[in-house]
Amino acid sequence: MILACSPTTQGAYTNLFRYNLLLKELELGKVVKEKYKTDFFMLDKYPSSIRPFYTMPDPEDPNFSNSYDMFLRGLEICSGAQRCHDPDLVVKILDEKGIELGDGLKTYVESFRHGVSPHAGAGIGLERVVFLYLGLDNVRKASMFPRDPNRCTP
Amino acid sequence: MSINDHYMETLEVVHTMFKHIFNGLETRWAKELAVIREQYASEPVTFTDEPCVLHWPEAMQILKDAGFDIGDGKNDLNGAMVRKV
Repeated sequence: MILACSPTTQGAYTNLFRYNLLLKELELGKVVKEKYKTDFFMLDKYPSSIRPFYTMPDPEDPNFSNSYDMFLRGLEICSGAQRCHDPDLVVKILDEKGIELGDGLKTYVESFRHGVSPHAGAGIGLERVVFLYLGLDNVRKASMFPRDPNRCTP
Repeated sequence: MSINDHYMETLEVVHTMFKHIFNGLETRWAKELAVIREQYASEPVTFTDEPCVLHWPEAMQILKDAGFDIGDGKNDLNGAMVRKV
């Protein structure tokens, strides 16, 4: 059904991609619910390879990172990480990921040389929280003015 | 937020916030929730008092046990798809 919604191969691929992700998230949520009796959990220590260069690596194993997603009823509602506040380490990671330290990134890295606390944060998808909390059938129902590729107005 | 000793402090702050939201919804907005639940049935979400934190390898093991192809376990949750295509 999800595939049928898409008119293009690219779209079908993206949808299949998302569908697979969805299945895994839901399975994880199911097992966690059975094991820990909770609809709300956090998944910590994502592999460094799938997180951006500014994510702090795990000090004990740089293959993993101090980054996390949070799940409600088996679906992601929040994503976050500790940011790398050590300019030399950021430069090293950029180098490893093969990203060039252009003007923009140079300013970003240099700003840390003025002194910065170790810091972390997270971004919450509030509509997703409402959608999953209320068990709605479509995330658009959790937003007064939903925006998506096919809807710009009102 | 700035960290004093460990980034787990951030997870604790976010966890406390969500607990506050979930509790607040069921107590302060019980009437509104009841109206919505007439049309969209749902149970209050269950959550732990302390953050329930899974680590990546643990999650990969759960998915492996459930029969998913997780490859080397270093890809995102949709890693199997990336390799297939």
